[in-house]
Amino acid sequence: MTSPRDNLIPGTLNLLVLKAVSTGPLHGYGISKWILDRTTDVLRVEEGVLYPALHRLEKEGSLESEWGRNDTGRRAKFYELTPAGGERLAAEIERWRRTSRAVEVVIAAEGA
Amino acid sequence: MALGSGFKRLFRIGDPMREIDEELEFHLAMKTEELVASGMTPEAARAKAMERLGDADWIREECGTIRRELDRQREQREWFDTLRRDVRYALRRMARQPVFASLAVLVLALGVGANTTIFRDDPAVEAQDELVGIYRQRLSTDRLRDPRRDFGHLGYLQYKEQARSFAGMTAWRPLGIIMNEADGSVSLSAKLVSSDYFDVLGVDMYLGRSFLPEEGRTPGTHPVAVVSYALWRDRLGANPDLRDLTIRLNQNEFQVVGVAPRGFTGLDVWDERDIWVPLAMESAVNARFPVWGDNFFDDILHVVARLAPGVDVAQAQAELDVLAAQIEEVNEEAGVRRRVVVDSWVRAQSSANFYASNALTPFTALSVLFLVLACVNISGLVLVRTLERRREIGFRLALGAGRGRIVRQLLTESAILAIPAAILGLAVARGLAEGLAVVAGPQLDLSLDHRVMAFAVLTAVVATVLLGLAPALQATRFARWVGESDTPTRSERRPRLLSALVVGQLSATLILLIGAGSFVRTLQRAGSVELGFASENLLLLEPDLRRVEYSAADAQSFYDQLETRIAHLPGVTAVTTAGNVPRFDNGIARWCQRDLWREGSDELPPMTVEYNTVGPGYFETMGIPVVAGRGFSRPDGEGGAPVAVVNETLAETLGGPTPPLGQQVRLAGSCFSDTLTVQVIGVVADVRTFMLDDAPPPEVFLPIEQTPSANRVVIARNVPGAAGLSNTIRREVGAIDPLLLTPEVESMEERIEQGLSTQRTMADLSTVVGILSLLLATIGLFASLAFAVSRRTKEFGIRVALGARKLEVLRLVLGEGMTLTGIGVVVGLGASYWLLRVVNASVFTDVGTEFTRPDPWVIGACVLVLFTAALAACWRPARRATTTHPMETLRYE
Repeated sequence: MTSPRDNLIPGTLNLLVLKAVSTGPLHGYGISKWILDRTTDVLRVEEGVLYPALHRLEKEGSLESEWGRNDTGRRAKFYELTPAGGERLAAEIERWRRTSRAVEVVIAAEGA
Repeated sequence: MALGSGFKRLFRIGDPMREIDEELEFHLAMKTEELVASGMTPEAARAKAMERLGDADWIREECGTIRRELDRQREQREWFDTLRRDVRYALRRMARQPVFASLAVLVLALGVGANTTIFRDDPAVEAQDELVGIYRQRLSTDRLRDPRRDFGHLGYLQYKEQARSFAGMTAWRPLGIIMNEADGSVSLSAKLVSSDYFDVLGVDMYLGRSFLPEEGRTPGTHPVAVVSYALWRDRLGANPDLRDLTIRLNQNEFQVVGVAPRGFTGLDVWDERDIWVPLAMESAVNARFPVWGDNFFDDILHVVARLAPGVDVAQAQAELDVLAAQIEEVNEEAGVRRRVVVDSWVRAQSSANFYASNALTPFTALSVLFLVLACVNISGLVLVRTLERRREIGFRLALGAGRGRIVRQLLTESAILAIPAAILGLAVARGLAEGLAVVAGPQLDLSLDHRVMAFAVLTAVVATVLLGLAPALQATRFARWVGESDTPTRSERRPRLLSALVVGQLSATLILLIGAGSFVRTLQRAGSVELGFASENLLLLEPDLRRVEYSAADAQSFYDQLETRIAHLPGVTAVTTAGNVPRFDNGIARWCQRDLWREGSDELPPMTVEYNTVGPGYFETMGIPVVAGRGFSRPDGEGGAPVAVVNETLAETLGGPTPPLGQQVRLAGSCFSDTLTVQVIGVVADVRTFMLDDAPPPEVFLPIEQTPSANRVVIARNVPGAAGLSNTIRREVGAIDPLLLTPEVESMEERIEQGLSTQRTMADLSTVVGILSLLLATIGLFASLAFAVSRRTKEFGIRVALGARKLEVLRLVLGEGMTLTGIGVVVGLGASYWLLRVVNASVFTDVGTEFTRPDPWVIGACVLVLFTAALAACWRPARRATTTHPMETLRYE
């Protein structure tokens, strides 16, 4: 109960959420589905962890939220990327790439 | 539920936890649907969805914390946004109304500035309400009021030793003193004090120490002094190391041991060139009428005591009544019993002999009134603005702006007025202070310190709240005006609040004008008063023979020689000697008074008269007219028949309309060892003797040769423009006796000038306040009247259109303004009459003096000035009303 049940590599959840929302406004369930659909079982998210992340991103100004209706007319809270969120996404992607490249280099060196 | 959340969504308010629950519930519902679609039973699907979600409680808690932080952030941001918007809005409004903005800032600045200047700090005396003044007064008095008297040294010591009601009792005597410097001399106001003076007053030294008990014990052994902060800073080099700081006072060297705290002037007022010397050093500064020693009756020492803890004035008085019965009986003086009076010092201050402290009280009243007037005026200005904006405010209220929002905005606007006003006010205060310093000389230390700054800031804050709040509260009632036109309805054509405000402004101004006016007039009268003698071209010289131990006969011969020598100097037309001359030093050096019984009324209580001994030719030299009988001549000298000359005031008391020539009167009193019976041989005109504003007291003159005294004033009348005569006269003294200290030669006019300087300062300050308040009132009147008239623009336009002549409209407008002015004048006159009675009753009870009743001329002039100002204020709006084109009024709609 003490730590987030985040099975992901630390820090990647924000990237995934921002990426999901960058396609257009989505509610929490939509975001989790988007992530699960694209990562299958490799990046398995315990779904509840998503929500504190969403609220934190909103607090930090990367996301904006608004209550609206989904296709079936049910009330849902939609999240949208702010310009600041867009910049943050780009930065997160850049960071991820750098990290993975570095790790890649290390692995390659070991194999040689 | 749907309605509730819809409402919440609209206003972005609501319980964050419920929103989180709803969000999570949506997630579970969607997940369950998804799982059911893939073939699970609803129950199983739900359970699976819950499992996939994870620890719901943890999620709720986490999200709740974040949400609350977010809300707080938003509130803060919104507050700043609103402030920024308010400020921008207020600035835009003011830019559109530059005249109003600058007027308001100016008035506030004047208010802040004037009050910052006026409210100077008090002397740093601790717990002033514990201090009591102690006086002696005769048990029974005749029709001439017996003044409160002070103590001789012996009397002071006896009461100090025996009284138990006091934590401490100090005595002091003021004395003009010369400080000799390398490049000349400067006169200081010295206080010769008992060594516990600073301890009783509870004053901590700024530097160094106060006096030690041994410095007050043996006469002439401890030449030490405490100097005022201003003196130390301006004249003594402001060096914090006092070890080598010595000064020369009346040619004797003194060690400076302490510097009094900044602003401390002792219990006397407003003289910052102060110095304190132990009373035991009296002889070293050549005080006239030395008080140290066994004299019980000298009326020279002021006595102030601090009440012991838990003792009140009444208890102290009860103890002193008992004590005085014993002490005064032992020292009974020619059958005259005295009692001892204890009075709260704060109250007694106005009854002390000092003119200046009397003058300060009404002056303070004036400045407070000025502050009130400033507030009324500004409040009026803002109220007028708010009234003008009632439509705008009404709309905003109707459009959903909260009351709080409107109030906040109005407060922001007044703060925007107040802040630059406070800054400008400090500049005004600085300017005024510098101006006053030029006018008043170095007596007033008006530099701006942190207390003054704090006062200015405080005034600004209070003004902000006062300015914004009243109109803001009024404004929230404006909702009903939405949709109405700007045309006032019948009932509010002359809004009551506005009229009341204008009347209030006018009457407050009138009170202030009358106050300042009569105050200035009192002082002017004092300055231009008939002295009763020819004060120009008189030189005064006071040789000090006590230091050389002259016998009475030697002294007589010395003065005879000096008189002869001076009389032969070119440029001198007459010369004489006297025990004393008019001093005009605000009563500081009151000389001996006498008790006088008229012939055949020995049983009756005596009257108190002033007393002087004068040489032959005194009245001629001074230019005092002899009204009846004759003045003194040579045969009235030593060995002659005992004769006296009285002044007109005393002559009236003695003989009514007929001069009391030939009447025998009996004289006794503190400076006499025995009782004298003298025959009145002449009556002279009244002469101002002590204070320029006092009525001349009854006075008796005796020939100086019959009551020889070692200390006399030599008075010489010179032809106009006799330059260098002073130095020649001083050399003559040295020629007769080289051992004598060369005395100062002073002109009578210089002396009068010195006596007047306090009054001058007061009059100048009052004039400044008077002008400021008139300015303030006129500005306020302009705004209020202009608004009152402009509200009826349409009505006037219609009247003109309907053929009303311009003159009629003009009369209408002016009539309205003048009616308000008239009401204001009546209210103001009534109020000032009432205030005067209250002030006189509370401040000046059983004091010989009171705040002078304003004379009809002052009142007339003030009313005239007020009407003129009001007329000027009405003129512009009246002109506008007459020139309003009917079409224009329609466009207003």
